[in-house]
Amino acid sequence: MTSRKSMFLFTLPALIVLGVFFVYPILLTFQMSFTDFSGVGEAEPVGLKNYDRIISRSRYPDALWVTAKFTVIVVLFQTLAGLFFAALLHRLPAVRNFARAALFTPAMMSFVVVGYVWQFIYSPFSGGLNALLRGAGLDWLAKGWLGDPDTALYAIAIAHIWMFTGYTTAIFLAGYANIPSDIDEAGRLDGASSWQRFRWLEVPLLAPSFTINIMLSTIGTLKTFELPFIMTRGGPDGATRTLSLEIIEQLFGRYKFGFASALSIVMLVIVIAVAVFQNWYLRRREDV
Amino acid sequence: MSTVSTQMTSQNAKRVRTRQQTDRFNSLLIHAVLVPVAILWLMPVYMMFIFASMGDSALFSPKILLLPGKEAWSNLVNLQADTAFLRTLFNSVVVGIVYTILSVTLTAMAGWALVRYQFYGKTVVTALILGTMTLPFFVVVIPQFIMIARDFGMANTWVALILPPLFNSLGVLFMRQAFSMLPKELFEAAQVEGVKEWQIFLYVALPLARPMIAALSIILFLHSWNNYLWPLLITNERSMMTAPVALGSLIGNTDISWGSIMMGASLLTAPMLAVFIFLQRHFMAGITAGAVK
Repeated sequence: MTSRKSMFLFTLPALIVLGVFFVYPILLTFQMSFTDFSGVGEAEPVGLKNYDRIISRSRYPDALWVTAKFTVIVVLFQTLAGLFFAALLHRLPAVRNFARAALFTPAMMSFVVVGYVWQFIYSPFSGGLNALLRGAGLDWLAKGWLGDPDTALYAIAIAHIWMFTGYTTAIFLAGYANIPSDIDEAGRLDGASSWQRFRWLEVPLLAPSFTINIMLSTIGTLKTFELPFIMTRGGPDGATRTLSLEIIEQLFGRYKFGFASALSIVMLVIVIAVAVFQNWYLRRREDV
Repeated sequence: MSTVSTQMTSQNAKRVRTRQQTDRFNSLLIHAVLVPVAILWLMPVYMMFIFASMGDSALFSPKILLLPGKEAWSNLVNLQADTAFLRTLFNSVVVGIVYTILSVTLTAMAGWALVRYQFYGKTVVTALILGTMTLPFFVVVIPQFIMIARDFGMANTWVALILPPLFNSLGVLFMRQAFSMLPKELFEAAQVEGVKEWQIFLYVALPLARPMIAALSIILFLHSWNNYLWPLLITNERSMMTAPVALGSLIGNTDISWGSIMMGASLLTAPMLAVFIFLQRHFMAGITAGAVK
């Protein structure tokens, strides 16, 4: 058909960037994870010491636990909220575009901006939330939401959910657009209520959108470092120190390049394992 | 017989009427819930914009203020003094535009190759490209940093900001999708006529894929505009930071007023908001096209 040479030329730029900035770095990270490299000087091989350290100190399993908690909360509520809004908007063509745009607006803001805005909302003084609570006569509830280890992680999760629910909604709405309209119509003619149509027709037919939404948000949330980094720097007392934040801290706080590499590899393995499992499980559900 | 059918019709009509009434009631109820929720959802964004024009005493007053104040200019002046913010906005614009152009070129070429050529292991290659989307940035960022900052000595340059994130797996798949939707016969005919491959790509395929390219460009620009980790690591000179990094550098700085921070946040958000409002169709196409397939 067409010549091999031109194919090669078309892929060459992408291959160069991919090779230099993806493949080679991953191999290097893997190799560095078995050394005590500190950014300068020579790297001494230390075998599995870095990995051993990750398992044996409670600090790192703790960070993993925080990451897992954060991810589960975000994925669960973001998916439910997205589904809720999509189901409503599907029934309301008149406000669909406006509401979809309104919900989506936070998703195109910068993490730094979202971090600051919510830091203000949660601020211990007359920040937005506390002012609202005092205004409603609920003074006793007002507090520094990000300064309390019991609430900090949830507070950040809410900001994260606020940011990306519009994204989830948009994907569900695209899924709705793919449902043949005669199916909905048939349900209507059989006298199925709005709720029944939602539960027994729409939810099963939206299975592919569930797969995409859950996978995208899980992968995204497992890797995210921006909001905890900006809003709390992992505090108070490690309550919001996710695995990603730990990597940053080891890297640029303590210059432990080797150890940070080992943490990155752990993260890579976790993300891939979760993605493969979800893909298998959710795709299987699509066929039912 | 006819009485029965009339009776049934009237019953039907009645049922339809009640259902229409419930439908209307439901719809009213849903609107009554949804519209306030949408407005509440935008409240933090609105507050950000009006706080950009307030001093801290107004911002933290126990009263809830909903109208702009008069401190916008002094907030901007303070922000500029602390971060060289206008310069960093300029950096963000340049980096975003160059990044978008190069990345669209790169991903379009790769996507074209995936559509046009049959080669051994094509499915595997496509799956691998999809797989790179799951990669945490952390597994590449440490060597990237060492390479750019130490080996090439290119920290604090535009090249360092643009080059490493160039490959975008989503973009490749997006362009593959775009080209595979175009009629194949067109390219084959051109080929028979003896048109060179790069000419087919440049003069036939690209113009036809224009709407998809527009959608992808918006996504890529947004990606670059909001990128935080890489620019944070690779720049430490104030004049070479991108705007999000410059704004983020104020975290924990107690001298700066919240009004100035909100001014920075607004300046960072307003351009994308404008793009979003005017190009919503392309925007949504870009967001969902990658996800639906």
